[in-house]
Amino acid sequence: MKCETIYIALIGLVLAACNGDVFVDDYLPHGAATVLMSEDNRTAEITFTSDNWGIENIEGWTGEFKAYTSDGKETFLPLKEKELGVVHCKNEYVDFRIEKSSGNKLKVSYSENLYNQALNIGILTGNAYKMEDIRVRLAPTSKYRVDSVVYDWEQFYLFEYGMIDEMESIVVDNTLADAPTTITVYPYRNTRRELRFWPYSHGGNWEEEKYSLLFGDNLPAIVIPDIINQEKPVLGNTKIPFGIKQQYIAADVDKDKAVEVKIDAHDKRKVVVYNYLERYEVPLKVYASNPITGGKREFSAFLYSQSYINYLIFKEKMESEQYD
Amino acid sequence: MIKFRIFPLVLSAALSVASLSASEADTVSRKVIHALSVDFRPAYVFPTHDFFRGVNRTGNSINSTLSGHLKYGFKFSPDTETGRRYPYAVQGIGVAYNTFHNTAEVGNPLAVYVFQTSKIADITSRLSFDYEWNFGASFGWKKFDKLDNPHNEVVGSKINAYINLGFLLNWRISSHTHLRAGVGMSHYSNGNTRYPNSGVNTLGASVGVTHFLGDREEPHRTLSVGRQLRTPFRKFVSYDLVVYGATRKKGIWPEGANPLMVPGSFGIIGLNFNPLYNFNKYFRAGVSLDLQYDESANIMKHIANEYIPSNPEEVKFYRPAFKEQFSAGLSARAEIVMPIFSINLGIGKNFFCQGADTNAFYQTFVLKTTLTKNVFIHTGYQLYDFRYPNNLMLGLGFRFNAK
Repeated sequence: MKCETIYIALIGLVLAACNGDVFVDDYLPHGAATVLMSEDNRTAEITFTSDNWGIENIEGWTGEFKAYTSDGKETFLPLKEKELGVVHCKNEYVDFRIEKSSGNKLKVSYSENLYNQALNIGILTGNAYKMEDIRVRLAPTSKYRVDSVVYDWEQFYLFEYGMIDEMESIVVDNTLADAPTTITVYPYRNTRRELRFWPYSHGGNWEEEKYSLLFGDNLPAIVIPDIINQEKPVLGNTKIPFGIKQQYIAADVDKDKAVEVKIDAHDKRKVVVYNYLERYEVPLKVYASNPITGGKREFSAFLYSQSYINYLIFKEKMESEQYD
Repeated sequence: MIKFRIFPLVLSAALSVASLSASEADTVSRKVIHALSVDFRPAYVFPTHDFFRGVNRTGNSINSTLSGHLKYGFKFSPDTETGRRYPYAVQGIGVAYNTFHNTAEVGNPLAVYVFQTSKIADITSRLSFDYEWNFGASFGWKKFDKLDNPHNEVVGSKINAYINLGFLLNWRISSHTHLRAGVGMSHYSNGNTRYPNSGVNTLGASVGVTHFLGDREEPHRTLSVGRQLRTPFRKFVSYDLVVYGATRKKGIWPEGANPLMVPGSFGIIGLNFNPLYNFNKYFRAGVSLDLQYDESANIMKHIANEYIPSNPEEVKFYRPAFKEQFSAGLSARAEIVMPIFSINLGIGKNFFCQGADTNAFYQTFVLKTTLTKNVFIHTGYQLYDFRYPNNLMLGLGFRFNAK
C-alpha cells in the first residue's frame, strides 16, 4: 500500500511539474477543408480541437455585416479568443451567418445566395500565434417568384388626352404633276405601347440586374392595367415582365389600318402622321417569395404606360399649311 | 587560512567521539558495526569553462578545491547473512564542506550524501585496495545571475547533485582504525533542472581516517572474500520494474534566431523493465526495456509563434504528438550489487521514437537503494551520446523474484 502511495505521489509530482504554460493548443492542427454549402445543405459546422481562437475577419465579402455578442449586443470584429458571438452578413442577394456558439464550434448558415454563381468567402480565424482561413462556398439558391401584385388605385393618374406624338413623315413632291396623287399611309405602322418602371421614390435608377438576380433570367410576368373608354383602368390580359426598366409591347390599334392621302397637282407636301397619346402612371407593390428558402420580398415601384389611341395625319405644305 | 585550522579540530573531535562510544558499547550485541570517518580531499578543478579559466571577477583561474568530510557509516556484523556476504562493505552518510577559493562567485557548498565503500582486493594482510562512492546533494552554491554573478555560467542552481568515485589504499593501523588515502573524481550538476548546467568536475586526492566503534575486531584480512561466504550462491534471474519521474529545463536553438531557454520545467515520466541475471552476489546483468515520456521532446519543431520573440517568456509551443515525445528503447545493463546499494550502468538505444530529441543512443547511471527485499529507491541520470545530459530518473522500483 505504501509503495502504491509512493508511485501515485511520484506520478502526481511529475504531472504537477508539467510545463503547461508554454504550450498553446493548436485549434486547427490540420487546417480546414473548404466547406461546401448548397440549398439542400445550408448549415455547416466546423469543429476545432480547442477554444483558443477568435473570428478575425470575413474575407471575400464586400457587403455589410454586423457582429453581435452572445447576448445580442452589437459589437465589432474581431471576436476575441473564447468570445462567443454571431456575424451576420447580408446584402440584397446574399444572407449568411457565422456563429461561434461554443468554444470549439463554428456554425455557418445561409438562407440565400441569389447570385448566378457560387459565393466564395473566407472566415479568418486566429489567435496570437496563427491565422487560419476557413473557406466556405455558398452555392446559388432558388430564385424568387411573384406571389401577387397590388396596384394603388387611389394614386392612379391618367394623363390628359390631346397630346400627340409624331410617328412618321413622308414628303410628297407632286409639283411636276398636272394631276393629284394619292398615297397610302398606315398611321399605326410604328405605333407601340411603352411601359416603364420607376423606383417608388422617383429618385435613383431602376436596377434591372437586381430583378434578374432575384427572379432569374425569365422574369415573372405581371398583369398591368389597360384603359377602358379613356377613363378607367382595368386589369385584363396584358402582361409584361416585371423588372425591365423600359419595354415595348403592341398597342391596342390596327397596325394594318390604311389611310389614303391626296396631294394636289403642282403641290409639294410633307405628310406627317401623329398618334394621340394615352398615358397613365400608377404605383404598385409586387410581393414575391422563395419557395425553397421561404424568403419574402416586397418591391414598390411606379408603372408608367404610354400608348396611342387615335391618329392625326397632317399635310404640311412645304410653303404653306393645310390640314386634312 | 581559518578553514585549514578547522579540519584538524574536526578530526580530533571525531576520533574522541568514536573512542567514547566504543567504551560504552561493550555489552551490546549488535547486528551492525558503526564507524566514523574523517577525510580531507584536495582536488583539481577541470577547466571545462572559461569561468574556471579566469573569466571571473578575480581574474584568476579556479583550478583547485578543498573539502573536509565527516562520515558516519556502518557495516553488517559477521553474525548476519549480509555481514557474511559483504564483510568489508561500509555504508552510511556523510557531510562535506567544500571551498573553491572563490566564495563570492562559487560559494562554499555543503554536501550531504550517502556513501559506500568496500574492498576490491587485498595487497597485504593490513593493506587493501578499496573503492568508495558518494552520492548526494550539495547546498549553498552561488548560481549564475545576470546582474550579481554574470561570469558563473557553470552553475545554475543553489543546490546541485554531488557524485564521487574514489579508489583508495586502506591501511589497517589498528584493529579498529584505518588510514585511507587515494584518488577520486567528483561531479556536481543539477541534472538539467536549471540552466546553466555545465557541471563542475574535479580530480583529487583523499586522505582520511576511519574508526570502527565497539569491541569487535575486524575480520582477518588474509581470508579471501569468497571463503567467508557460508551460504553458496545460486544464479537466478530477478526482474526489476521501475517507475520514475523528473523535471528538466529545455533550451532551444531555432533556425535563424538566438538560442532560448524555455521558461518553466518540463515533466518526464518513465518505466523500465529489466530482467537481470544474477551471476554472483556482486554482479548481475541483463537487458532493459526502457519507456519514457518527455514533455520537452521535439518542441522546437512546434513553435507556435510566427516570429521567434526575443523575450523567452513569450515563446509558445504546440504540444507535439505523443509519438514525438514518447520513446521505447532497449539497453544493456550491468549492476554491481552491495548491501543496501546497487549501482546500475546501462547503454541503450531507442528503437521506437520520432524526432531528433528521442532518436538517441543513451546511457544511464543509477543508484538503487534497497528499502525492502522487493522495493528500492531508484536514483538515476540519463545521458545522450556520452556527453549530453538529458534528465534525472527519480523513482521507485519493485524487484520480482528477489532472493
